[in-house]
Amino acid sequence: MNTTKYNGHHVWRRFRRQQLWRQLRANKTAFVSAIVLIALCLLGLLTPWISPFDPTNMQQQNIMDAELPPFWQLGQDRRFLLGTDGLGRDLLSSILYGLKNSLWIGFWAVILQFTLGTCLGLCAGYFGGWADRLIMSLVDFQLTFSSLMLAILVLAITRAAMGAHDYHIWAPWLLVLVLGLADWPQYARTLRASVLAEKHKDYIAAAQVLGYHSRHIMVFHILPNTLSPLLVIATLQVAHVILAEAALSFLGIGMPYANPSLGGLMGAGFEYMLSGIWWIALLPGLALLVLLFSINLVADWLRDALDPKNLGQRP
Amino acid sequence: MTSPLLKVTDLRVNFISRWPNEPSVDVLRGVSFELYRGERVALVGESGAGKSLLATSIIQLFDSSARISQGEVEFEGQPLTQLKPKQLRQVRGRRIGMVFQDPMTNLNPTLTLEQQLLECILSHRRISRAEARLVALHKLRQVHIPAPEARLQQYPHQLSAGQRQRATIAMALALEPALIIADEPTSALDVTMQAEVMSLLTHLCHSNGVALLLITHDLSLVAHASDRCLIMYAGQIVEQGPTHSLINDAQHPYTQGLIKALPQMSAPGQPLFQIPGQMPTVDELGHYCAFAKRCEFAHDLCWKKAPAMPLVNDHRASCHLLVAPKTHIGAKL
Repeated sequence: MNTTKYNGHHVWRRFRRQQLWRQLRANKTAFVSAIVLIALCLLGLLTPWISPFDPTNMQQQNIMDAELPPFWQLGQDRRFLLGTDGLGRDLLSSILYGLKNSLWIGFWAVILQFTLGTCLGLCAGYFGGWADRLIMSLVDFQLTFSSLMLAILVLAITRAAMGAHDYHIWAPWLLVLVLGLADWPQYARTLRASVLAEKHKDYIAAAQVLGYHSRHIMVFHILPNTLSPLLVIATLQVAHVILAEAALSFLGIGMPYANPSLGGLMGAGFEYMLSGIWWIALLPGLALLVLLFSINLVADWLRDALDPKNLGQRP
Repeated sequence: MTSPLLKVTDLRVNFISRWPNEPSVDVLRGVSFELYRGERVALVGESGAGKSLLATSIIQLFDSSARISQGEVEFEGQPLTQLKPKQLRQVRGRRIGMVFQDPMTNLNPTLTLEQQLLECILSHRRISRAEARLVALHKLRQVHIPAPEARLQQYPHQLSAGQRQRATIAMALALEPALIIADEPTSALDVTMQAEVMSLLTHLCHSNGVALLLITHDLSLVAHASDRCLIMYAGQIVEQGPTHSLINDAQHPYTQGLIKALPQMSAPGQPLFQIPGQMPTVDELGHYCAFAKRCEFAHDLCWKKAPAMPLVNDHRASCHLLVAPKTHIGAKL
């Protein structure tokens, strides 16, 4: 152990990870879902290299291959493991790319929410007074909107304003922005409450007496002690954001059909459902289900594992 | 005579009222005292007397709704109430250290002892990390923490309450301040620990030439842990003087009551003495003696005007009896 190295976050994270690791091994459901989640994330990351086709490349598509069934049905084509969609794109590749897009949007939107909510919640809780009143009014104001409604409104307008081509390019960033800005109040509220509880403890007063800058106290003393609930919210929010994005794409205002997410694939496949071509909608839906389920189970375990009551029981 | 290290002059602190038209009442009502280099001064009073508020007012660490309405706190000749936040941060920690009451919350639970000690040392002193670590180890040895190298790697929850409190003292001492304010440093510890931590604190302050302002409600602690004693009641200092003469020859009826209320080994089985009544709330205070309501010697004058603070023998007490004792209540005394 390098004793002269002074890096609070590094040590703290390692400490937590050891604790988390033991609890993860003890919880079979969480362990399996964590493995599934990691596998899905790896698939998403490696998609450009492992996917058999590139669904965004029109030259690889042939309309004559359209609506082929998955491999276990008679008369399938050996090239397309999970069949093809209405445009003749390989469904497996589409699902992999959809997975990548969904995870990408979920990840960055949550990073945005987390940063925004954490900064504002920390300031509101620590400084109090007018900063607190202003930020909390903002939170209450934002909570009066349905975030999905707001997203639909913003996306519909930008899409009309930008035109299809520009929208196609900017869609992922727009979704990250809209979904990221929509849900920060949760973090801010939770964090503010924990900060209020934490800031009256003696070690914060001690830090103030020791003459640390308030920025330093907020980041290095209060934040690490209030991070646990935020991590749980963030994990759950990844699932929430992916779901919201899927809903938007299903409604046709999310990711463009040429570069679909899982929700977009479902939306497109839905038209074929009644003609018995069920796989176009159902298989991406299944992938989404597994993804969200594993995220939620991992978040559930994280909540137990980071519960301060559990931490307090350690000798 | 040398100039005092800390000089508090007629300090008045009030809380800003929640309602706009309500007048704010002073909670500290004109506190004046001086503290010299290397001196150990105890601040004694019952709960709610304003001891902690006085301590936090000195270093401007109080709640945002409190404010100093009048008076001055001078530290090393610097008026603390007029310092900018940045200058104030230089004084806090570097020149004035503080030890808090509750050992369970006074260390950050997510950082190791080493991180906290080094952070504290390096934030105020321009020395290398390795040197700072040596200072930290030295201070931990000074407060008798066994195996300090191993302790440095531990988190606060791995230490006992007494060890934590000693680590806090080490942290306060690490910056070699001129003054340490200890706010009931031993009231959360068990009795054997109390004695040890107390003697450690006073001894270390003495040997390092650090002045100590010890806040407590326990007169028996004060007897051997301080040179001088301030008795506080309802936001005012009612009696001050050298500890031994104050305890042996208390002048103010409140101090007398406090001393009488101590359990006596010489009278086992006897019910303990209590000062009757309760401390007045802030709205009950007026321009008369705050202790009059509970004082067995109270007479007309006590309800008419606030007492001055005459010098009696070698200490001061604010009581009308001391100005003209014989005429009014000679019979009662």
